[in-house]
Amino acid sequence: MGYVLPGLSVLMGLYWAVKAFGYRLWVLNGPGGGLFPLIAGILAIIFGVVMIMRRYRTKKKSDFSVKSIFPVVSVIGIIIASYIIGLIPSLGVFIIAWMVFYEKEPWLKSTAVGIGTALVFYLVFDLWLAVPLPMGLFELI
Amino acid sequence: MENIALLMHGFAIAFSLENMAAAIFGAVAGLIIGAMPGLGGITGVSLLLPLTFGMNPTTAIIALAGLYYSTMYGGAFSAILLNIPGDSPAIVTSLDGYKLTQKGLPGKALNASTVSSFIGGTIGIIILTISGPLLAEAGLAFGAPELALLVLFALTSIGWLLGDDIPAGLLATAIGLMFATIGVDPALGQTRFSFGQINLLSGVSFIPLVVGFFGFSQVIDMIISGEDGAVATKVRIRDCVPTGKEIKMMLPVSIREGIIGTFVGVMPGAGATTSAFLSYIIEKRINKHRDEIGTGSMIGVAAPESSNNAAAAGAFAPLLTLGIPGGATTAVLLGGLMMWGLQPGPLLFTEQPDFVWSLIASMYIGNVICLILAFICIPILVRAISVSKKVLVPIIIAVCVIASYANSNAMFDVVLMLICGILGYLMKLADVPTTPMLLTFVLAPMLEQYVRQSFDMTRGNPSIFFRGGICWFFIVLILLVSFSPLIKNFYLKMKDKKAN
Repeated sequence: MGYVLPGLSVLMGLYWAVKAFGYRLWVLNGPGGGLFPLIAGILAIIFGVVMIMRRYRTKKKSDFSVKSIFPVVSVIGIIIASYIIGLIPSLGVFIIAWMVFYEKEPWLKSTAVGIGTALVFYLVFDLWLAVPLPMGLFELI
Repeated sequence: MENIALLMHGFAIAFSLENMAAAIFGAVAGLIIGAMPGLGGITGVSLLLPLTFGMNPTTAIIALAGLYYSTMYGGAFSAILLNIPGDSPAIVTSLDGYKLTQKGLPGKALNASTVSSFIGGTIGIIILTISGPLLAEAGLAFGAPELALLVLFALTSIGWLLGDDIPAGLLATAIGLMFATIGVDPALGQTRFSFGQINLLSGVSFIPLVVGFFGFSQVIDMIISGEDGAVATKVRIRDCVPTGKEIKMMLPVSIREGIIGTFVGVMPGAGATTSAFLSYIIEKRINKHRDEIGTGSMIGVAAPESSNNAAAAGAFAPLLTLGIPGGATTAVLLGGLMMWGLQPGPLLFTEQPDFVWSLIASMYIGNVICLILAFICIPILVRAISVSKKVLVPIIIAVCVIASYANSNAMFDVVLMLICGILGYLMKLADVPTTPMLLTFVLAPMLEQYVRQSFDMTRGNPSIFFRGGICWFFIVLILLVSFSPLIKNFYLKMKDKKAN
C-alpha cells in the first residue's frame, strides 16, 4: 500500500502538467493559469518517482489493515442514510451501531452517547447556527 | 499621552453594562465557535453580524471584535486535543499541540496556548493603542511584490519543517500545490481542474480538506494502531499548570512572536495564518530549545498562538484607519462598519473617538475575559478527552461529517473530506508528512495572486520584485534560507579539514 500514494501522485502530476499547457503558461505579460499547475505537476512526477524507487530499493512494508476500511464505509453509509432519515439521525444511529457492533459496548451506554451527541448537534447546528441540514424523508412530512 | 486619555475615556464607555454583556457574549460565542472543528472566525462573525443590525454601533463592534479574537483562542483547542485545526492559523499549533496530547500533556498544551494567546493579544492591542495610524501606514508599504516575496520566503522555509526526508516533504508540497490550483485562476479567471463540479469552481474548500487530512485520517490511524493512549490518558488537573521553568521558557517567545505577529497582521492579505507560520519557523531557527520544537514542545504551541492573536489585533489598524481589511474576517467587519453608517478611514479616529477608543478598550477587557473563560474550560476539556477511545472515535467521525457539511451546506464537502481523509491515510502509509501539503495549500494561492498582480502593475517587467528595501530584505532572506544547508555543509567540511 506504500506505493499507492507516490503512484497516484505521478498520475495526477502527469494530468496536471499536460492540462497546464491548455491553461497557458504566460498570458497578458504575466504568468497564466497554467504556470503553477505545471510546477506542481513536475514536482509531483519527480518526487513520486523518487519515492517509488526508494520504497522498491528498501522493500519497506506499510502497516495497512482491513480495519481502515470501516470508517470509510461508515461515512459512505452516513451519506446514503442522510438522504433517507436525515443527517443528524444518521449520525446518532451510526454512533450507536459503531459502539455496539464494533466496540462491543453495552446497548444502554451506546444509545445514551448516540442520542446525546445527536442532541448536541441538533442544538448547535440546527437551532443555533440554523444550518439547513438534510432531513431525508422527514422533509415530506 | 493623548492616546492614553482617549483610551481611559474608551474604558469608561466599554465598562457600561450593555457593552460588558456584549463583550462577554462575543467572547463566549467565539470560544465555542472557534473550538468547533470546521467553524472559524469568519463563520462566527458572519453569523453574528445580522443579529447586531439593531444594536448601537459601539456595542455591536465590541461583540463582534470579542468574537473575532476569542475564535483565535478556541481554534487551538480542537487542534491540540483532536489534531483537527479549527481554522487555518491553528494548523501550526497542532504540530506540537497534538504531540503534547499524545504524550499525555493536553492540559499543558492548552495552558501554553491560552497564556501565549493572552500575551500575544495584549501586545497587539498595546501596539494598536500607541501607534494604530502609523502602523497602518507601515502596512501599506507592503504592495503585491513585497507580499509575494514574503509568501515565497514562508514557502521556502517549509524546508525547515520537512525533517530529514526531503523528497517526502517535497512530494507533500507538490500535492498541496496541486490542490491549491483547483478553481478559478487569478490571471484570466478561467476554471482549472474542476472536473465539471460546480462545488470546485471556487477551489477546494479549506475545512473539508483540513478535517479530512488531519482529523479523519487520524481516526483511521487510531483504529488500526489500536492506540488508546493519548485520548484515554487520565490527566490530573494540577499536571496541567505550567511550571515556573516552562513559563520562563515561553514568556520571551510569546513577547517576541506577539510583536512580529502584530506587524504581520497589519499587512493586507498576510493575516494570522502567515504570522503563525512565520513565528514557528523563526523559533525553529533561533530558539535555544529548537531541537524540541516539532516533537511536542510548549514553545511550538506558544509561538504560533501568541503570533496569531497579535495578528488579529494588528489587523484592526488598517481596518479602522484606512478602511482596508487584512483578511476575510476583517472584510466582514468592514461590511458591518458600513452597515452601521460609519466610514473607516483616517478621519474615523477624530470624528468617532467614542467608537474607536471604546472598541480598543473593549479589546483589553475581552482579552482578559477570554483568558478567564479559557482557564475555566481547560479542566472540562481535559476531562472530556479522558473518555475511552471506544466512545471518542465514533464521535470524532460524526464531528468530521457534520463540520464538513456545515462548511457550505453541501454533501459534496463530506465526500471531499472522505477523499482527503483517505489521501491523508495513504500519505501516512507512504511516510509522507501532511503538514507541508497543508501549508502549501494555504500559501500558494496567495503567492500566485501576488505574483500576477505584480506583473500586472508593470506590464510584465520583473524589476518590480527589486523595487525597494523591503523587497531586498526578503530576497536576501530567501537566498539565505535556500542556500543555508549548502553553506552549513561547506562550513562543516572546512571545519573538519582544519581539525585534520
